[in-house]
Amino acid sequence: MSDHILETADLTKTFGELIANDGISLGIERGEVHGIIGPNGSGKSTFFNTVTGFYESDGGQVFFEGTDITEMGPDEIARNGLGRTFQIASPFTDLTVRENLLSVYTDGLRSGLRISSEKRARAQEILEQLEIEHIADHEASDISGGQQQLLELGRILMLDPSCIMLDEPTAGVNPALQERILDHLRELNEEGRTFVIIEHDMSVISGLTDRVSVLNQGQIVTQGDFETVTSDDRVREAYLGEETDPNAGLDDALGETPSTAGATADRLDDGPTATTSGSVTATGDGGTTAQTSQIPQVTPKTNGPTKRLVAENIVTGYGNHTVIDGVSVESHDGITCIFGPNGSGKSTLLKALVGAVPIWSGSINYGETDVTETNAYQNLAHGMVMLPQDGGIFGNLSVRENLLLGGYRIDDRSVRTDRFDTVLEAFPALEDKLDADGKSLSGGQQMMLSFGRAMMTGSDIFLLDEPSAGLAPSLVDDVFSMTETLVEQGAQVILVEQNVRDALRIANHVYIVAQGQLQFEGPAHDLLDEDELVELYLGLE
Amino acid sequence: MFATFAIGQTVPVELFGFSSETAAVPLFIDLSIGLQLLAFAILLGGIYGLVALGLTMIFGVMDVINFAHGALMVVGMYAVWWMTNGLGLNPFLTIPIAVALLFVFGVLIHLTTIAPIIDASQENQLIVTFGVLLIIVSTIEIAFSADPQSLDIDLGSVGIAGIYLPEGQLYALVFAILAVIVSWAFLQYTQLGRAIRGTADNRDAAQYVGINVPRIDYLTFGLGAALAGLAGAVIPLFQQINPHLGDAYLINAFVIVVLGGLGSFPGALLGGMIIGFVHVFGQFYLPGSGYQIAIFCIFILVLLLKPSGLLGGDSNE
Repeated sequence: MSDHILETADLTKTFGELIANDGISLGIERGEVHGIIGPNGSGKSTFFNTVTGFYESDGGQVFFEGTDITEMGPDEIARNGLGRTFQIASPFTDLTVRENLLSVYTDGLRSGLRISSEKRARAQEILEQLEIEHIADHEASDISGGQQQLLELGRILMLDPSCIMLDEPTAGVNPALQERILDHLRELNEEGRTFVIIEHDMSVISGLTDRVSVLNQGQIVTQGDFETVTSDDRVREAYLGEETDPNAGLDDALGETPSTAGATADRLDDGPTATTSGSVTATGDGGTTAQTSQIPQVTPKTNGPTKRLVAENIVTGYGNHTVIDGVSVESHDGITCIFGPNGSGKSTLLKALVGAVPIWSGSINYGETDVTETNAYQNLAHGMVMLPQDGGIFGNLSVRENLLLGGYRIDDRSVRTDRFDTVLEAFPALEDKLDADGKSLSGGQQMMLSFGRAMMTGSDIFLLDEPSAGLAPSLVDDVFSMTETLVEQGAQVILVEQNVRDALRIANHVYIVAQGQLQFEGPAHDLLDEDELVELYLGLE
Repeated sequence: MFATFAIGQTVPVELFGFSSETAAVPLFIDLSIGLQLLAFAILLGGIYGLVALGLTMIFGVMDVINFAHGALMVVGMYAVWWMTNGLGLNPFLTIPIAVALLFVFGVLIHLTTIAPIIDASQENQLIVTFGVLLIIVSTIEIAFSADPQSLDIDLGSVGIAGIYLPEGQLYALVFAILAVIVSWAFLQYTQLGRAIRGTADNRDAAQYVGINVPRIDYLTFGLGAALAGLAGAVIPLFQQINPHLGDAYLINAFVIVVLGGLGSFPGALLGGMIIGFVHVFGQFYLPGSGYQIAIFCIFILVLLLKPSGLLGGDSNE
């Protein structure tokens, strides 16, 4: 333990049935920059929150400088020299930049009454070091997102921590400022400070870190330097989805699940998986045989010229935070997939296409119709429907009512009834549940209901936001066959997915978005080389 | 005889024909008195249910806590009183007119105050609705004075099997029950009602099935106001009115909304009935304003056992 400044032993954190951190044992060496990567929901931020006392752990211990800090509160941990920043920078917006630094509580009660000259000097030093002195007297709400990140770093430096945990310090920061932040981090590291850093931007991870730990489903999958880690099959699996044989039965699919996903069945209470969870075997490496080419793709219907959804040069984001920076995409016959790592902006892009997020510039046309400015509910009248992430069903309404609301825009009762029957034909499992509340359905059934509700709208193009997210591996194939059902019925589909390997099997055309920009565009069969895919996906080029 | 509310507003106790100062009420009472209390409890519960239904609807759909809700009740009361006494219309004819008026009034309030700040923080919206409350109540006070008013009509009593109900209360009871049934059926069985419930359930998903969410907001605020107006409109049939009478109802309506489960429509009606019963029977058995203490005791008890309210769903976390 002597060379470890920070160490966790079997650290566990659960939220209800969800095991967010599943016995994480990690040692951070003094003076290193340690990267933590992993797909969405793998438990990275939860790990930070549990280590720094923001969450109470459900098991295991945390040691900092040899002291057990598991039971300490966040403020006590910070004063002990373990600092952290948050994914969303949260400076005190009504204070100036300098006041933000001076507000840090450093030495006992006296610091609450009078600001010592040493503290002022320290603040000045940090302002200079981070090159934010010129904005020292601006209110923190007026400075850019990147400057806020620097300020947050500066504020934690006031406590002179020996180890700092950074949660996505460059997210949404423009490239020039991003470089500066990284330079400051390197400089602080040379001074002897240890860093633990969560990042989705792989170029940041590769250029900054000494070692990387990969988290997936609450567990550490592997550890090592960046090159070793990214060539590890288990890491590819974590990011691109597990490689399962789509023709295999449920037991086979589970049997192939590598040990890293062992907790899946417990975590996702989806009926059949729970009963077979005992059969999960630890096979170490997942199968790596590329099966992509063996799977027959759905042939899209080509009955005459189909209307296309064409988006050009889309720029959008939230607040002053650019998420999508000049992306052009269009729908193709069959299934158009949009892939990209976490935080790449692919969900935002999809919401912009359907009108749920207003765009800052660019244009969107569906066929002859200009849908640049129209809302999601107006676009439904144009034949576009969105399936939001996690299904977005109405939990307090019955399944029947959910479906009927899918037909909200249909005035003709007989059309509505016909479609209702069609949906039940496509998804017979819903028929037994018609009077059950939406929230009583399992995750897979909710997604089925979401598909059914979208089919009720009678739309021509379906925009799907990660429909397989959070579902047990055995259900992922079901989701993709439901997606194929839509195409068989003559619709176009735009599919945003994390499960790249599985989604590639049904994709006709692929876009890859990383860091808000398009990295690749082309037919799905151009993407069969997985090494290339990984590089594109991680934004390494 | 007036029982004082915590906020200084009074609801006449004698409206239910019993004095709370009666010493030592026997635990077992005549069947006739019991049934009479039951009728009053249903009446008051229905009124509470209507007020709370409008309140919970606006909260559920728009996430707005509408402080002006009690004032909308008062507008309903004075509309009926003024049309009856001032214009000489039949009071029963004035009730539907008042309801329609309140719907339009609600839409106008939404247009001018809530819609422009629908994306602002909840505190801002709360303060704006509080401002609307002050404007409405003050305007009524200026127009009609703060003196208690009553309808210039003579209503007798109806005796059924030894239970005597003042006619005014009986009619009010019929209106309240009808309104609860109609509201319930509307929300449960019409596409528009489903759209309102869907929007309350998941505002984002609602737009993805083609629901014009801003328009649902207008409809909801209008309907919420109409329900408050209806609850207010039946009150002059059996009680003197004054410009501040809405406040006491509003406080209890908040209790009911939380008790039934925030945003739950059946919860509002059920909670209304429960509080109606506790109010009437508490007033009969307990001295002073002890019934108000009983209401809050039940409220606290329910929240301890089920923090999300009687019919509130589990939290989404």
